Amino acid sequence: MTAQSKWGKIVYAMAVLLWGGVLLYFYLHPQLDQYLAEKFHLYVLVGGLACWVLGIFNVWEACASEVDATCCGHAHEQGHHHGEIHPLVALLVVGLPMAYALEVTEHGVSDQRAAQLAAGAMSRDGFEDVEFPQFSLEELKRVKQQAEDGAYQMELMELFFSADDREMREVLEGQRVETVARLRDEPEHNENGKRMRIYRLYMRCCAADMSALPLLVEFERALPQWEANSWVIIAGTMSYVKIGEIDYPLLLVDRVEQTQAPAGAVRRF
Amino acid sequence: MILGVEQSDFAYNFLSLLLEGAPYIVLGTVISGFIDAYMPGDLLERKLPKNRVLAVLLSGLMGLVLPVCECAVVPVIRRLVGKGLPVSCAFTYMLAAPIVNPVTMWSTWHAFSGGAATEVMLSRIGLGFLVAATVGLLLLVVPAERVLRESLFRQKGEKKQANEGCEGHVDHGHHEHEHVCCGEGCGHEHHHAHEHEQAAGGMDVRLRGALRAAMTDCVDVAVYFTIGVCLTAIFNILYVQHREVLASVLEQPVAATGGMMGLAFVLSVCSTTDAFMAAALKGVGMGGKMAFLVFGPMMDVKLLFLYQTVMRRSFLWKFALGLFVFVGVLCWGWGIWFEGGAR
Repeated sequence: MTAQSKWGKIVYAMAVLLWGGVLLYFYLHPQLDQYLAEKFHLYVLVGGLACWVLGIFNVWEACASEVDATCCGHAHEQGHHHGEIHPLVALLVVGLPMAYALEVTEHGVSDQRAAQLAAGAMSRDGFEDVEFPQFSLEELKRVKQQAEDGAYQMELMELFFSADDREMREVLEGQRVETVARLRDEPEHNENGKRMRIYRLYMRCCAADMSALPLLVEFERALPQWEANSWVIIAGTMSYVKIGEIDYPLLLVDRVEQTQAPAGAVRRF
Repeated sequence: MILGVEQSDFAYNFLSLLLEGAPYIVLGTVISGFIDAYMPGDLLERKLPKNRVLAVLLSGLMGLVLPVCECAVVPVIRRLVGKGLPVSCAFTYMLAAPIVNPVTMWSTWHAFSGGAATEVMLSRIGLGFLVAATVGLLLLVVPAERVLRESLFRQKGEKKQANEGCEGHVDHGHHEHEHVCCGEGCGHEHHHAHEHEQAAGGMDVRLRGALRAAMTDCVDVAVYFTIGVCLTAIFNILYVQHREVLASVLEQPVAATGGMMGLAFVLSVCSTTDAFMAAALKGVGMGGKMAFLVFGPMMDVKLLFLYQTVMRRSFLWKFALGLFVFVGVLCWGWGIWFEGGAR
């Protein structure tokens, strides 16, 4: 079987259909946003449909052809319109890693990798591009839901970047807030031994650019002794602390409890 | 766990990279299929400036009007070379387009908006163009057979032969009906339509040719892309595991330049978003960051495999090494100048 033969063309088309099938499967998959930022979702659909158009057309054409030995009734030496790779090899190379990945993926990073991503130093370098709309206490009350004890339920990213946004910082400082994140020890800025770090993973485009946004948390009493990187619902009073030349947000914790990993554990910038 | 990499992490990274890149590959190959079927064979020759240096320089700016990322550009270039685009212009466009385009310009400016955004953005565009144009100008004196993959070189040669053999024919580029006029000299740059025209059931023969060419291009590129993505997924995981080691290397300016290019190579982040990653890297000088931004869109693990659909392997290694050294020296010098100016 060669790429020029009828069966070769059909196998080539199968490889394209396989690619298209995976793209369309993920477009319909509720976890697509764990793999890819939303701005790419439409491309996944278009790419999948394009693959299927190409694949179905070429299968149809190969089947409609009465000639088996050659693709179009005359032998080519050049191979310019024909694949350069043996069809079965192409199908295996394209198909096997995808099949394997589909079988073992957990639609997110392992606890081990999450911990590795969060192990870096605290830094806000390069995150200056996140901009928030005008913010006021009225806006906070209007937009954010509150927990039973009155804490505003916020995204960790909003708390993290509030240190850079004067309006937001003025509103949030002294407010009780609640967020869902993973909890680990604080290796850097922990002179009194009462601090820990919470973090969540964020991506801009895909898993290759994933990074962790950290937030310092300080406990009045003993630190929780849960397994590192446990998911927690954590609440407390927002404050800010200067480390070196930079202001970092610091949550003074008054309530923390373990929870299950939320759906959509990886967030997007 | 294999080689310290969790299987589920590999799978997640692999699928994530595949889902991001595959649609662009498909779109690139569809475009390449339509170029093959619909673009008259001598169009590029007619439209490009006769001055070869000017043609190379112009190709370096084509990304401003035909913006494509590094994944989509490879199948397009492959087909354009087959259609007669000079190798020098093709390589210039291929290297420059992922950097010299509006999307990358905007994302670079946005990522560095904390400081010197315009300078960094303009420098990236300028250095990207300079590297691409230099490669293009050098390729003016390198024979195409030493650069191009054998099948592509043959196809290019046949195209040239066909154009010369059929000179004077109107609309020759499509020539699904012109086999007789071309005879043996036609070089088979047709769409096999003469056999199928009657069986086409009314479907445009060129459209059929486009879909056929797009599929074979798609599979050819998909094979190399899949291998590249497998390696990228593994390297991406290993990088995070060992980034403390890299961080200590990146503190030295010269090592930082090389290290950042190495990082760009293994991470294979899309050129439209890599600026955010570069901006976020702590403790790295601007020279290193610029090397990351210029080298990454031109050469990374997945591109190394994708380029094999265009270049001879022997040339590819020299090309990669030359690019590494040239971009490294350029960005290291730029870093000294830039940081000197900042002080």
